[in-house]
Amino acid sequence: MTLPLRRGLPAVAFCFVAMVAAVIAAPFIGSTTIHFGQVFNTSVPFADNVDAQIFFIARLPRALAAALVGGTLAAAGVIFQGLLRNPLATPYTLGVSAGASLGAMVAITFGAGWAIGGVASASLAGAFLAVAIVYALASARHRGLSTTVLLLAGVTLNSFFSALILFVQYLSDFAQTFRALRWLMGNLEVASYAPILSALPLVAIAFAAFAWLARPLNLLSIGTEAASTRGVHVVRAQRVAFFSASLATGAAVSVGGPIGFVGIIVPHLVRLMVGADHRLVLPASTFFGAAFLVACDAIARTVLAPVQLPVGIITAVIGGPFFLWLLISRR
Amino acid sequence: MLLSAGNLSFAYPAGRGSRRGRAGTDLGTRQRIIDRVSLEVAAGDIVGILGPNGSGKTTLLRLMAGALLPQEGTVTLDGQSLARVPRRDLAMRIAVVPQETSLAFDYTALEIVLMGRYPHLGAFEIEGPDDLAAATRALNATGTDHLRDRGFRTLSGGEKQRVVIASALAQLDAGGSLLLLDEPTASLDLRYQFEVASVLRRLHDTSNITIMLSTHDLRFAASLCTRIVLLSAGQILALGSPAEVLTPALVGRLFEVPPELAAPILASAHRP
Repeated sequence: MTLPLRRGLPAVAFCFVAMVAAVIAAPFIGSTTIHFGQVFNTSVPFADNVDAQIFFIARLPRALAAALVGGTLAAAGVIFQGLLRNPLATPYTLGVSAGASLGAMVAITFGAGWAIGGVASASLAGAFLAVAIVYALASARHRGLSTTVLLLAGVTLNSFFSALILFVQYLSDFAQTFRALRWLMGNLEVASYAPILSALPLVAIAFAAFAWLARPLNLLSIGTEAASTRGVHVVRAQRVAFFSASLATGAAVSVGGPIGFVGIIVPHLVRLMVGADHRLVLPASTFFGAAFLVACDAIARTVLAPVQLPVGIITAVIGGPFFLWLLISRR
Repeated sequence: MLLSAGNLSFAYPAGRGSRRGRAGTDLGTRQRIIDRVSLEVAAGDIVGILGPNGSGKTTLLRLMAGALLPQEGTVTLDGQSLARVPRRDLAMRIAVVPQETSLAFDYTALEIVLMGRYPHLGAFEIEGPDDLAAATRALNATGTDHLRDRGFRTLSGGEKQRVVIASALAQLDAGGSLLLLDEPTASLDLRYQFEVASVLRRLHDTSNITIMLSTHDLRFAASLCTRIVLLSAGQILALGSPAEVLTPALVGRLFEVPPELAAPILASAHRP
């Protein structure tokens, strides 16, 4: 007899292979054809190797950004769903992305003097502001953390921030509005490794917390009191889950904008493969989320080439109907 | 004494959703759900708590499990206050079976039972052969081994209840442990009521587990319990063996019905 956990390992391995394959294959897809042999041909100096330049400078950063953002959003979705005990939660349910978007809008509209990367930092600041407000509300009148208030505060903050975003856009000029709208669509045109590297430490901290959270989240999903009587420090686990998933979401959104659907579709798909155990769902969602967004971005870059579509449109167009199909065919 | 409650009082905080009372805070004028209750549970007891709706049965169980902290009085396990016992250590001694279990995600029965091993494992430790053996023992003890790979949500009410009992069993260390059940037969039909009762009796007889449960079912309580507590408005109305406590006069008083109405039910309950 084997542990249920072991039975899910092949699926996790499959998701990992899918991620690696996607990240390696995606840079070969694009309007200019490049060849594998030429890219890794060390006999030609890098300065003269056009294929290698396209691969390493133009396309690989983008694939890596897609992997980072996709994996992070999918994992954050798993954590939020576990924390709220609600399979319909997304990384954006509690207002993190609305805060991040507001920060980005303010930076785009008023922040002419910001250094390069200003929009990303501003969106991160906006995300932290939203997290602080939601947390203060959810813990104000409770000893612990009320997931009901968390949910209501998040949903309310989402619409409040959306109104502020519209207000900021109303004040901005035509070019600014165009840029803001593009940012809101979700976009992975990172142009270098710098945005990835600056988001990486935050994502790493969040994932360390995720690894610790996997087992407490399993127990939380049979009920907070059941978890507590089995030895889980419920309030601590809820706090760690809320802050780490918010941090991860804020970091991902600062790189790619509020890309939709990854955080909800991927965890659901993965649960069909590995079951409900968070120790399997978390790594599998991370890998599969990365593979999924890399693939979506490859489609976004090529489907109307040479026009590059924002990837958020592709995830929504593919993800939405697919998710509905899943919903209907399952029960 | 294995588990004992001394002069226990508890009131939920007024107008707030908090689950915990604050130990040592003033009870003030708030309504006491549990009002100066003293109760001793000896090893090997099967204690039944009977009382009308809202009499504080569930709250008393939660206090005895350490899931709630009383404002006044203490609950002690082997003489040590529950508030001082680390959460994991407590979980290995006292397991709780709630009235109903609803899952956020679809775990299998075996996964639910393995969750009982939580207090036995370190933060990043994965279940080993010992844990799997403990889970298998628990599944066998509750007659649910054939359900191990079934989704928990697809099980019937009685099957769910027995799987949750198995999860609680997997949680407990061998010696001197307690199983607390909140209305274990509440939503079950007659057949499952018998099944749960026989599972509990077998556990008590073979595994030396001390049991405390709340119930509305007089027959269930009379046939299973060694000691009965009658709880009325948060206070103990009577305490003793089923024969001493389950009398028409006391039960009539407890549920505010005429004794002659309670008498025939009790007559059938006392027959083995």
